[in-house]
Amino acid sequence: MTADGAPPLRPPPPGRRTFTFPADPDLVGPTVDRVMDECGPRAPSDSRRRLALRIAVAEALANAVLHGSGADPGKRVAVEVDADDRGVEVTVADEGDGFDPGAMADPTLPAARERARGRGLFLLRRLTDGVRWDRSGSRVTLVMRS
Amino acid sequence: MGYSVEHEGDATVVVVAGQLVVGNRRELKQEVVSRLGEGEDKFVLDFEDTRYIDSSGLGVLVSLSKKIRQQGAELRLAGLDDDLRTLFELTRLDTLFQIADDRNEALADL
Repeated sequence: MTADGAPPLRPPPPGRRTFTFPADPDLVGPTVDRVMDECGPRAPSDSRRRLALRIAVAEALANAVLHGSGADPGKRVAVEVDADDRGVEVTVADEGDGFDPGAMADPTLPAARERARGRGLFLLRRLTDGVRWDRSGSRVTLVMRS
Repeated sequence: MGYSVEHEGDATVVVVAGQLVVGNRRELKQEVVSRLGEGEDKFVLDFEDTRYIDSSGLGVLVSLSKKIRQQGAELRLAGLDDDLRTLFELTRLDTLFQIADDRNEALADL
């Protein structure tokens, strides 16, 4: 028991958790916090890798809200967090038509560097240990080892 | 994000606190574009108190950079920590912006 009599906080047990939230840009930040809480100690302990996971989750959620859902709060984005001793997998799915991730231009090329958009997928790939899309492109899974 | 605007000599310093992300990026853009429209022509964006910037935030910075340059004004970024520096290097945006270690260095360079 803690000093105030409440039971001590424990990290979430390993396993898979799912939830949904409205496709509202203002909810991306709080949802990133929730995902990181769900990952608990199974997220990387190294602070830079932990930050990388946080940024990648934010990118995946923002893509689903902005591009997959048109920032329409009437649509919902589904999130699945699968955490075990090997690390975490975070899956984000939207109701949109999807896209072809392979068709996105490399934003680091000189011709693309001054474009305002197109860096989200690049960051997903660079900051995580693995990224998988389903065939439609509307469901993405981020892999981050502990 | 919270942000505050300060004036140092003839430069406008915008201090970005917390995060520059999809949910709040437009506030920063509107603030800077509005001041650009009023004739202010030297800008420092100070990220000393910024935890992280997502791709939407980077996009706004790229967009502001173009607008500022088109108006003949100047922009410096300052106060990026190691993580944010890495983000700029990964995306090669370190080659697009003039980045100073801190606000004073940025102001001296304007």
